[in-house]
Amino acid sequence: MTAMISVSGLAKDFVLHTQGGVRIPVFADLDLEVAAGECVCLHGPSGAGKSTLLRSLYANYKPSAGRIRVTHRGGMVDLTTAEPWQVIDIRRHSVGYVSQFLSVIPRVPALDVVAEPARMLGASAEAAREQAAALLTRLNIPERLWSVAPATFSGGEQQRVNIARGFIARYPIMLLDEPTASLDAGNRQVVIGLIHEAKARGAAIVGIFHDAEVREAVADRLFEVTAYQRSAA
Amino acid sequence: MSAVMVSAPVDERRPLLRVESVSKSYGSTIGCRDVGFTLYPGEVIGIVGESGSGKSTLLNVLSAQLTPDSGRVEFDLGHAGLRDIFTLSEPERRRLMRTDWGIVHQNPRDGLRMDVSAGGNVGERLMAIGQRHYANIRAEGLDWLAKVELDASRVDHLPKTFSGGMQQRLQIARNLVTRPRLVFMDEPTGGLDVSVQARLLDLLRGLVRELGIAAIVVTHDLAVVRLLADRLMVMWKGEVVEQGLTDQVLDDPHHPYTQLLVSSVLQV
Repeated sequence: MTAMISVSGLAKDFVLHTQGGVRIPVFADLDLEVAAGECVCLHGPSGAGKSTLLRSLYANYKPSAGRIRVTHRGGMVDLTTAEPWQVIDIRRHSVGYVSQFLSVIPRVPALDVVAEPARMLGASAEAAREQAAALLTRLNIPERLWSVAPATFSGGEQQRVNIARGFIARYPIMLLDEPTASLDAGNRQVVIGLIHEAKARGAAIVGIFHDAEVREAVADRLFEVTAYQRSAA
Repeated sequence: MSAVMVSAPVDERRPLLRVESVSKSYGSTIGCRDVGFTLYPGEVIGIVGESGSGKSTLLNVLSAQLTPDSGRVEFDLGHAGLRDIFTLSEPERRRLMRTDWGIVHQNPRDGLRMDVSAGGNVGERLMAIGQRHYANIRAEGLDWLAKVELDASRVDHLPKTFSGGMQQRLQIARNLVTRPRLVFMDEPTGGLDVSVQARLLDLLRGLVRELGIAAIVVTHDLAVVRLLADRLMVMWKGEVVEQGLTDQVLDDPHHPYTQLLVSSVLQV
């Protein structure tokens, strides 16, 4: 089995300079390997560092120590030492991230918000819109909303637009932060289906799933983040 | 939007602009100190910091409007490779500014010819790079007015009859019409209403990505860089105190000043 993600010796502390320089340790000496086709669920109580780890895997947070190697363009690249333009290339081609909340871009219609990652990979405008339409249909976003900028959408609708945007590019590595948090039962099943399909095509998935039904349906194993917790020195 | 640029394979990338330990002071007052970075084609870099942090001084040095006390600013001239812009002859530098560069000023009045029509403002840049066919210049001028969402019926009007937001969009059209490889922007949304800002930002984001133009954007508005910039440099007291991916710097700031800056933004 080939590892798509290989994390070793990872540590993360936050130092809050605006609050007297207090140091908040999150985790240390963390190792994690995720294989192609595998879905790992980050587990632990609120504040254990699940989101911090997930954001570190996207290079959104900068770890204090350790390495995060991800498969990219046929090789392995260390996210902790990659140049910004390399990280941008990695995010465009190899690693996708579905956050809980959609960051809305003014005036861009939902269909184009979803289509954008496919366009960035070189798909034509029509092909990208077609794929976006198929995903939005599957996620039960009514067609009359496709031409509207999602700023006015409900929380659940925004989350589904975000999921469609995250799954359109078929990234080899996917990071999911509570993708079903504000969805009803029917749409949860759609997302479970999308995750199963991503696994079947060989994607490595790391996610935070608070919903037990979703977790049991998609996760191959649980990864206890608390095991790497370090108390304040 | 038509063709979106697909990034070149990693090994083919060569720098568009390379800045090495640039310093500039005004007497005993430091403008900027020891700034260095590399910009690649199509990349958008944001420079943030409060008034007096040196960001405008830096932008003026990078765009050859101000000579640094020390350091180098090299630009890729194509066949000639990377050349220090301050060793170019005056005609060479003027040519660079007309063809490869665009400068969008905070105040559109500094970047527009106020006594020339909207169409003339756009067409002038085309004539400066050698276009002579009137009908083509007018057609391209109209095309660019449409791109920046200005009504074609305003093509013969003077910019002084335009609102601030319209003037700023005209200035952007005037700069982008020659398809420069690098655009400098100084507070491009400064002084505009919030609703007008959003429209301008969305427009800029679309155009810069569509044309694959590299840009250096100076602003004090973190929302502007989050939307436009791939990378961010934070300036404080004339020095770059933190730099990296835009979302990384804003979401996980390390330097005390960056943390203060990020935590000072009011949530709406």
